[in-house]
Amino acid sequence: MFGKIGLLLLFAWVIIGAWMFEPPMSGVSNPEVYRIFYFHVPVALVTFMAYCLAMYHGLLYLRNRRLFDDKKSSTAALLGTIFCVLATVSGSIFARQTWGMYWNWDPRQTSIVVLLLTYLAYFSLRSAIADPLKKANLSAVYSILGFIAAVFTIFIWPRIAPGLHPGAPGDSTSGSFIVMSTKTWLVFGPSLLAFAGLYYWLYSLSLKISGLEEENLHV
Amino acid sequence: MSNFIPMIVSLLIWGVLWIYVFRLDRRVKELEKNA
Amino acid sequence: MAAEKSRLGYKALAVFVKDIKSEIRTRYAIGSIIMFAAVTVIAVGFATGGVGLDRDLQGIVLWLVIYFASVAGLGQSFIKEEENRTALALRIYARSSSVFGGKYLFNLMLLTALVIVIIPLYIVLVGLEIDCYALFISVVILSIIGLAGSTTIIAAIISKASIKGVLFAVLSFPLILPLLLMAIKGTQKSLLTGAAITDGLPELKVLLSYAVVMSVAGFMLFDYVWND
Repeated sequence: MFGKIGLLLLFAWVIIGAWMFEPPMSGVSNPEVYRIFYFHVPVALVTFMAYCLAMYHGLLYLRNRRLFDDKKSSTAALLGTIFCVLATVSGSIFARQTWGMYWNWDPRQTSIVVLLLTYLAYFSLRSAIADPLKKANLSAVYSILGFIAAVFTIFIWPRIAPGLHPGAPGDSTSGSFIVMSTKTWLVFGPSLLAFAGLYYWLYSLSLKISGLEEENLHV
Repeated sequence: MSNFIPMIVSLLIWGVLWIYVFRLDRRVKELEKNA
Repeated sequence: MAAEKSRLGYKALAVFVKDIKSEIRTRYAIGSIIMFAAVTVIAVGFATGGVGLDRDLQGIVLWLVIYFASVAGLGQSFIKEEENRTALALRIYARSSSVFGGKYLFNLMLLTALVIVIIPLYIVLVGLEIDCYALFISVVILSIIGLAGSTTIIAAIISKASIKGVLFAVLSFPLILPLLLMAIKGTQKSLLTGAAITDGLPELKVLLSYAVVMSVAGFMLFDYVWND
């Protein structure tokens, strides 16, 4: 109960802070747009962490062969997919405001879609297998392979290919920068915590629901 | 107007997730009642 | 210890040779790959007429064709074992690492054949002008090693699933994408006038790490896929 209230307060703080403080970007023509940074980036980070969680439980499944780990893996992935869609949407709205188009094939923008494709491929694989043990086994293997590819696509590629997104070599914002001052951290840090907390809450609830639904089936 | 778009988007993200959380919460309570 | 290791390698080669022999008899995989590649080259050459493709596009089209040809030809390597009921015999005969080794070599061979056929065709029909051969060839070699690694393990995964059709393309695309991006970029760099192998060093580094990591990961995970 207190956790939920705490989370609500945290979010309230983030929303107020994102609007009251100065925008986290200097030297650009429309700094106001960059306020979305406090919402878009944490969601994107959480979707990647969700994938890591799914992969981690995949590894655990391969080790211990407990079906509950597979349940955790798929739940983590499902919620991760939702966050991934939200990150893509918020990113493309930012793109529209800053660079004029919803989609630019910028490396970092594309990488979030590749993550989305990886999530979707994971679920396609799961739906193509009937036997639960085989499903768990192969999904775990695929989640590990997907993780490796995701590291290449999300962390390596955007840093070496030119692009528009802040942080790529030769982006349109060079000369300006995201001001990671204490003030920005005061809002960004809690935002990250808040979205991670929300994800975790959704995750535990989903796990509880699957558990209860299975119990109801047995009754 | 366009400067408010980030705000709207952020609130939408926030809103979507919280609606989802409340639906799940309600489902848990309903299942616990049946068990 | 050394004797056991050489037996592993020996068995891997045996699996490889077996696949070659059955391939020579049916010519299924190599046939589909080469036909696919040839058809697309001709289509591209025909569509662009005498004008030829823009330099950047040449690199992109080349790798797209290589990717789709791999999807067409390499996905079958394990399915044919399941379909012909030879999978069980293979499991008894060799350890999983040997089976992976053999299939990996086979896929690598198919890819080598593919590039040997398709690149000269591209040079002649589409007007591919390579300025730095060293860079181009290094990109190609590292890329096919990476492709062999990822396609082998994915082929193994889908052989266990029921709806095999499009699954290989769906599963392989997110995994192979980083490789494709680097290969395309590296190739484009080698087409520029005055290019040197050092220009493509970042791409080559990423391709090398991808090839190593994917092949090793595939090798280690294969056991879980093969032995249910």
